[in-house]
Amino acid sequence: MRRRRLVAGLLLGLLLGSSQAFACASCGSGGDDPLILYPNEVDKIYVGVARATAFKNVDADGRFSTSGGPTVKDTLTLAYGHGFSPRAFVTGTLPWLRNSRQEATQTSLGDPSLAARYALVMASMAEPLIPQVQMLVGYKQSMTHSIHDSADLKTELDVFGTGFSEAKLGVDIWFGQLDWLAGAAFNLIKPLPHTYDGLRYEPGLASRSTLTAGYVFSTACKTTFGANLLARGSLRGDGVVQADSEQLNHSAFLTQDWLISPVESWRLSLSRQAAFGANKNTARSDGVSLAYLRSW
Amino acid sequence: MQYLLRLSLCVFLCQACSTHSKADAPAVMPASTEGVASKNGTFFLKMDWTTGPKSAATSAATLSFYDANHHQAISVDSVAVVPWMTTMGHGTAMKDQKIVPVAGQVGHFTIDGIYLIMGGPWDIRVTATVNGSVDTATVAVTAP
Ligand SMILES: [Cu+2]
Repeated sequence: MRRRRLVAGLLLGLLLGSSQAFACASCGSGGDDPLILYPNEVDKIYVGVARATAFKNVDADGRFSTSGGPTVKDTLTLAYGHGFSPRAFVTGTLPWLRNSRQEATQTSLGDPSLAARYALVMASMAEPLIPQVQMLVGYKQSMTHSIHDSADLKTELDVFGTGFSEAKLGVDIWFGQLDWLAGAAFNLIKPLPHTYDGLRYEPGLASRSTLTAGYVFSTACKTTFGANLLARGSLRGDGVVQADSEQLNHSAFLTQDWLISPVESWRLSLSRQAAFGANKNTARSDGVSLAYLRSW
Repeated sequence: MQYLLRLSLCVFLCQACSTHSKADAPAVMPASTEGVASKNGTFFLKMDWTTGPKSAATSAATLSFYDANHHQAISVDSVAVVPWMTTMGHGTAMKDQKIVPVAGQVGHFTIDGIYLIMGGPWDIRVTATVNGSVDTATVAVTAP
């Protein structure tokens, strides 16, 4: 019965397609942090490869159009986390990216990020209905080229980032003590303004909300799935609001974790951006990622 | 202002067009013509797509400049075309663009090699110098 459910879940995931996994924080990849430490873990690494394909633009009315640019985006993500106590840990993440279009490819380091989490409420087996509650802060430094300073706008092969550094503040609630898992996370994301070509860009304040559910089939096998909503306010150019520039993206994900030893696991994720509901000024893409995690 | 700075990089100088004969030109804009007035009312612009608009491929169009009040064809000293995706705040590749005056037709140009890098809503910003005044008209278009 459990196996049948797992297969059904995986099939659902394949149907949904995928991009970078955006699972809930506590189950793996809270927003854009791929690495989460459990209370007993002191050091942990994450090595993940991801591929995003099937890009389509979504306009302000939710209509699909040609995305242009790379047709395949590959990412190698390295992350390291260190726990200072059962309640607190920090992670650093560095992506290495490859864009491809027809025969041409270009590679670059991506934007590095740092994040820290603190558990306000610790979960315990004794009271499984009291969730773990974490506060989180994070910062991503814009370093790579974006569409605003691309040297080749025809292929966009050198477009690897958004072009804006971001700070974030969030809360993450996770019920992880029973066979059924559930979680919710909310992040406020503040992009920092930047001037390109004499024009000062101020992307709007954004939020990412995540709902996650899952099931622990055995200590070695866990499946989670869920949805994200990324909502961003209007873009300003030199202080002037750009008409119709707000963004909405409802994405879906399915993540399968296999524990291969008490300290090692593999994680396969499928996701789709702009997967359902209202989407605006964003992009549809399908993604798949595979990651190896090890703790000490 | 920075748009104008950007525009200045790609202005196509057309000193010759003011000397063209007016004999073959449609001197008066047809009554049914749809177009847009420039921001400061210096001219009225009609843009007709002859190829496209396409995304991630080149498109072509004709540009016809008229007097904003009387809709007479007017001579234009320079033309620059900058496609801009306002909702995302970015432009496009412009190195393939070629703007050429149509012989014998005052205020008429062909533009080839318009490359819209993605589908969606674009503002085609057409900046022209008319009698020493620089002004911009914006034509909205959606690429598939
Ligand atoms: Cu765009």
